[in-house]
Amino acid sequence: MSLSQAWDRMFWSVMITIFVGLLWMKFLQETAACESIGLVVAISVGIAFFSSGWYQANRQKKRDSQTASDAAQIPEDLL
Amino acid sequence: MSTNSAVYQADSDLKQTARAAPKKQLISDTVYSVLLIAPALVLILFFALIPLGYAINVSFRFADLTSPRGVDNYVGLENYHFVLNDDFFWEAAQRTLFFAVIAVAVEMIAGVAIAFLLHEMRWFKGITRSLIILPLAASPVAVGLIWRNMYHPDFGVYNYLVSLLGISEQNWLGDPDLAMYSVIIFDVWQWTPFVILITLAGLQALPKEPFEAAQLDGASTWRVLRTLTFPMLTPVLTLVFVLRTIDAIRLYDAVFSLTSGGPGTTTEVLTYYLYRTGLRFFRMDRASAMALLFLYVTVVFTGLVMRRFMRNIAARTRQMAS
Repeated sequence: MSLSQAWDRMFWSVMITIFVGLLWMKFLQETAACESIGLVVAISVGIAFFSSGWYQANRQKKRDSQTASDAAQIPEDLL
Repeated sequence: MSTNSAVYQADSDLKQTARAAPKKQLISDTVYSVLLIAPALVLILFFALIPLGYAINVSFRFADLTSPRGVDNYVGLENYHFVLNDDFFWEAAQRTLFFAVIAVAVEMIAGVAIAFLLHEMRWFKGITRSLIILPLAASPVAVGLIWRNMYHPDFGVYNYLVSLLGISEQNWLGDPDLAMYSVIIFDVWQWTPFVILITLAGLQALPKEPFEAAQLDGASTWRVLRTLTFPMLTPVLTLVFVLRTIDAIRLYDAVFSLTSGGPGTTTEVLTYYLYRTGLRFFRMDRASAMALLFLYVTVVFTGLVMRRFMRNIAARTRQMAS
């Protein structure tokens, strides 16, 4: 994952964390009657979003390097 | 060796020496670039980051300026909880959304249409353009006060104009059903020139060749608009749309000078409610929480639109490169 991709993913993770936190405060806090659970849920969702992006980017990178090494193994006369 | 060749030799020696030992720089490129952006950074720090940090801090505290406690201890997320469950806040948010959707839609449609007309104009183009951008140059509060007089039910010019059309006199700013539309009309009058100006600049910057080729191929005007003009104008239109939407969501001066949020709370948009909470009721804690929620919505909206916009540009660039 490049630095710009990581930054972008981090930004959206923070935005999603805030969004989940706000939703919790608006709709669920009255029933759950606990602020800290909401905080944990919101941060977990943010971390999950960031990690899924990280995982996808790494898988894509591996796939690209695999394709490149496969292409390098093709004999030149076939190209 | 002749004199000429000796001079030539000395000259080339000098050039080589100059090439071999370049002038030593007083400061490095990195320091130079940091120095260049330093003034802007200092301004951003003082006028954006420090107030933002302070607002974040206050939003987690108790801060009632009418109470002897003033800005007091931390209260966690209590202010956010209050704001999210405040009916006035959601009503103001609905009004802001209503205003932004109607005003931006009208401004975009009218602005683009007028820009096309201006682009096709042959005579008086310069003077028309200058006259059209006049509302942009005026201060919104000053013009708002003039418009308040123009909307006046007894001696306002609008009631005179509608009476000529045989329509009964209206209380433009006092009628709860009309007040918001009156504010929208004022905003459209003031900000449509902005859309016109940017769209016109975009139209004038379009390359001529594709249009000439389309004309030779016998393409209809509608087809040229649909397949050439609008796709090529999309980046400009997206930018105008984003700028106008952010500005419409932040509407304050027009409401302040025309209606002060009234009658009742029918034109009280989010920024005006925020102002009332912070600077009339002196609840800086709730006002800060509200302002930060407002900032959050604006940032997410801009981020989503710009993300899509940047992706489209990247795809188009890749397409052109291949």
